[in-house]
Amino acid sequence: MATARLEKVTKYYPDHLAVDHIDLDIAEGEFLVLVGPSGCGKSTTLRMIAGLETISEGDIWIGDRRVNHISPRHRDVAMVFQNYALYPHMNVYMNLSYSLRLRRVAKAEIDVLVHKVAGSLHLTGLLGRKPGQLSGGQRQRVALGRAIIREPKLFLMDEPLSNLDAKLRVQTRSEITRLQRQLGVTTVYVTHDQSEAMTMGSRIAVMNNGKILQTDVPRDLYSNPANVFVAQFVGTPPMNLLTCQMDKVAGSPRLLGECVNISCPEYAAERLAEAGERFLVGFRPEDIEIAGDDPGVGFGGAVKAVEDLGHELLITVSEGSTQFIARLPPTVAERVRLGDKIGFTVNSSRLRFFDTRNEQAITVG
Amino acid sequence: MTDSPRSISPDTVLPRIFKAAGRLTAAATIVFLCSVGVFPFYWMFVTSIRPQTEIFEFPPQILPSADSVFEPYLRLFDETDLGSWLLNSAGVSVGTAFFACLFGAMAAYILSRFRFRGREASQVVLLMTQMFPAILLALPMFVVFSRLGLLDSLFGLSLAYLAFLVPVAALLLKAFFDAIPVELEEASMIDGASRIGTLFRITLPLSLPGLASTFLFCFIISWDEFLFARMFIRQPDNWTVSLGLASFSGEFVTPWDQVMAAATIITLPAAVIFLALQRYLVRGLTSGGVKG
Repeated sequence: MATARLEKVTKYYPDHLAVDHIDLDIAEGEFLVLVGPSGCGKSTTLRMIAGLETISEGDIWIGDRRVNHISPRHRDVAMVFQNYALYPHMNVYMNLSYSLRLRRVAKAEIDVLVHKVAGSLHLTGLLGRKPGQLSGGQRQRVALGRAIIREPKLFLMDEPLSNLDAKLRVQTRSEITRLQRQLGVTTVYVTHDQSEAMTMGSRIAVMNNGKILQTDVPRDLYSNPANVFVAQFVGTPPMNLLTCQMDKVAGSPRLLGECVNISCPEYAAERLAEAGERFLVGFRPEDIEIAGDDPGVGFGGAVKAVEDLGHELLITVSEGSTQFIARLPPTVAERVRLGDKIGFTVNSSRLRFFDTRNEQAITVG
Repeated sequence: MTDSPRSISPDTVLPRIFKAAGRLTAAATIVFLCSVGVFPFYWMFVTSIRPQTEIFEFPPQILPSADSVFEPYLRLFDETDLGSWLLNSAGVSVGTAFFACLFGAMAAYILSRFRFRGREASQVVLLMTQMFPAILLALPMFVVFSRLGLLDSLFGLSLAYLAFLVPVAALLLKAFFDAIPVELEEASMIDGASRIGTLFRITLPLSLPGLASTFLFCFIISWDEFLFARMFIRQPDNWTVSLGLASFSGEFVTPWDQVMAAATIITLPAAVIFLALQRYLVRGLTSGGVKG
């Protein structure tokens, strides 16, 4: 168990900048998820922590040791790879005990540890098999076992679930979280799947183009995205973002635009007036409620698509070139027909605002 | 009616006939091709045990003679130095194949795993070494070897073979190393092994099929080689099997029964090694060739 700290860590490749001066503080026992679209630099960051990539600039600390020039085998980290990287010529027992044998742990002790880990991962009956004779889920568990058997300072996981089918993925997700809580080992977990990040991470760092855009606990990331990218990356469907401008109508400020006609919350008026003529108003699909036939105020437009998922309805509403998605309870299903004009009310405390120029959140109130 | 005959109509019978005919044709083709390959070996063996008087009979007898004799085999070991030629060849071939694999593996590993300036170029150079006719290189090498005092020694001959075979081995093995996922080595290094440790614990065991086929390839090339052996080796003590075999053809008489007997014996070691490594060879050739 240890903390880990990244200071201005940068990775240049001859033709591009993969990781751009990132800072990250990982607390002891924390489950930190690095999430972002493919090519955002999250795997490179993880590989730099592991020691598989050199660091172009900056420092990486594991515990109180600067590890920039320490080889992977002396960093005391364990890694789970996307393709599991099990040694194909060794059986499960040998795979699990590989790191212990390299450290010349006594045979009897290895045997005890292997059986303990195999027991906790339901692998006891498979110890004699080679990786080629295992199913995807079993290989995944061997890979996990190989990481936990050493009790390393850090777990590093590089999209370990992406080769599993959807059902197994959800199961293994909770299995990994359970193991991590139980062992209390500091973990850095890389994924491109935001729902995986939200369900597993105790803290999430969203990356794009080699930069960390926001690091926060899942709930804050969801409700207070720091910029347009995070707002749209986190959550399915993503946060609705509508362009609007502020106008004084009969003395009180209103936000007007395609799909938008709402009174400007008082606490935000002043700050928004400073932010420029046009800005983005954002809200989550579940933050609006149906108001009946288009009342002309609130959010509204014509129903363009209805997706009935059984437990909820996702309704796409559009006006002009703008559209947004509303998440509604299934009880309103009969009231929504394609092409109908429909209006929504919103609790103004749920509104978020973003600058159109730099795409950063505008803090109001 | 309990067993009514099944209706036989051209619709059901014809496709079956075609299918059977197709298989038969395929089998016949395979048998024909195999016999083309095997016949020279058969002829070699049959001739070796034919009494001398019957060897040049016309029309030739395909079947072994009724008066087959195995006496040429015994005479070979008594009257010639076949035993020492075999030993010489075995030493040269095994040594060459071993060191070609060793040095080839080192070069292949570097080419496969490290990115450095000149990587592409060095691969092209390795390939280019194979583009020259042997005789073109044999002459300058003869001069160099004579200056170095390496002529007429089996060590020198091995060295000459290595000059040709290390590049081939490196290119062959690179394909095998390329097929082994880098993640396996990375996992091993994170697990606590050094790069060299990883090479011996993970990479080499996984490339055994590749090593086996490379070894075999180098072994057979050096076992068969004649041109360099002829030029570099003088003393009969140092003759390899190919030189020994050539020495049978005399100015006036060539004892064909003995030539064929010697050829049979010389073919055997290569065949035995081939059969022993065949399991790896087949797997190796496919697993290295089909990448990804």
